[in-house]
Amino acid sequence: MKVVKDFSMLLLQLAVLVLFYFVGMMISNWIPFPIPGSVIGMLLLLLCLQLKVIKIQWVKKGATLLIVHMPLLFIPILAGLIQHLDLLRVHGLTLVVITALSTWLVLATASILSQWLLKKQVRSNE
Amino acid sequence: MSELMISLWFIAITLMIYIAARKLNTVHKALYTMPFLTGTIVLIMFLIFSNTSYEAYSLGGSWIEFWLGPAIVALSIPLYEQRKTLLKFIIPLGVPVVLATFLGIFTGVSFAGMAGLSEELMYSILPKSVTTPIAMDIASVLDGDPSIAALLVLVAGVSGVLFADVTFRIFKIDQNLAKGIGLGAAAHGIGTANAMENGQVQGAASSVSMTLCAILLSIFTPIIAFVFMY
Repeated sequence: MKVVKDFSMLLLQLAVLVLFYFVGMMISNWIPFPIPGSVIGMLLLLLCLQLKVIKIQWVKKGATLLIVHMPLLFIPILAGLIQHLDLLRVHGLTLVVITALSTWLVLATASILSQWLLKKQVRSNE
Repeated sequence: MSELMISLWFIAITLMIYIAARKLNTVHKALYTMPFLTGTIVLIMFLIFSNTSYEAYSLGGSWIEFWLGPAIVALSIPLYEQRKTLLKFIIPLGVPVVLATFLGIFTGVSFAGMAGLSEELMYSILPKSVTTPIAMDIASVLDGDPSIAALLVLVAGVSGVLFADVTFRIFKIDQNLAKGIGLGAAAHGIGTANAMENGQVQGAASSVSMTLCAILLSIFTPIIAFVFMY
């Protein structure tokens, strides 16, 4: 019986996350700029958690399941690359080089700046 | 076969491939055995050899894809749990995250412009440093291509992790919080997984930085695009 109860709890938790997603999508269609509905749903849930309208135990198990298995959700989309093999043959290398270079700049800038600000904060606290 | 049966069949295939890919990753843990990398390669090979079109596969695939939306909503849980860290380090966390988000957009788009790439590709590069589901949403919002965006997110994640150690050594980055923020901002989920292996502080910083970058990017890019269009 415990298995049945745990499983229905999990489904209920997933239903709450889906609900927030749908509300986010509705808001996304309604505002003039296309902010993804999923992100709006995330911010709404964050707000509800902060205001204690929703308890974290109500969604934690379902959320962990989705986050842990997120790679599964990417596979069908990445498989969509099969439609772009010709384009990748021409531009693939350029895209990879640009992405890697820009990634490196972001990595270096963010960590250098953050370390500098962190040391400043620690010093002013002393 | 009815449409429902075809959908269930493709869902089952994808699940089996994913389970096998996860198994491989636990037996042999490395950057190149990450489940979505090996899983995608096997699935693409399966589609090619069984002569299945992507449209046909999507009957089942879209049922799995749907869960990306609720999965993004779920990211609010780790963010909520880290809210104390976030508030304590708001300046050393927030300032680099904002700058990194804009630097990522600017360098990605301007390098693409210099290389003479099409607008569709440019918009597919733009969200490369945010977590895959949000990157795909942003790419489709901007008329980029979600699968290419997902591929470039993967490239950003892997290259970020590969560059990390050397970069931290060159610039003498010794604070775990700073390392985590850099990894999360540049290499999103893959960077965060890597940061978590180096300890809790680095992991938490990386996950907060990753989520904040994604929120910032998804709010600002559509607004900027909206302003430029009108």
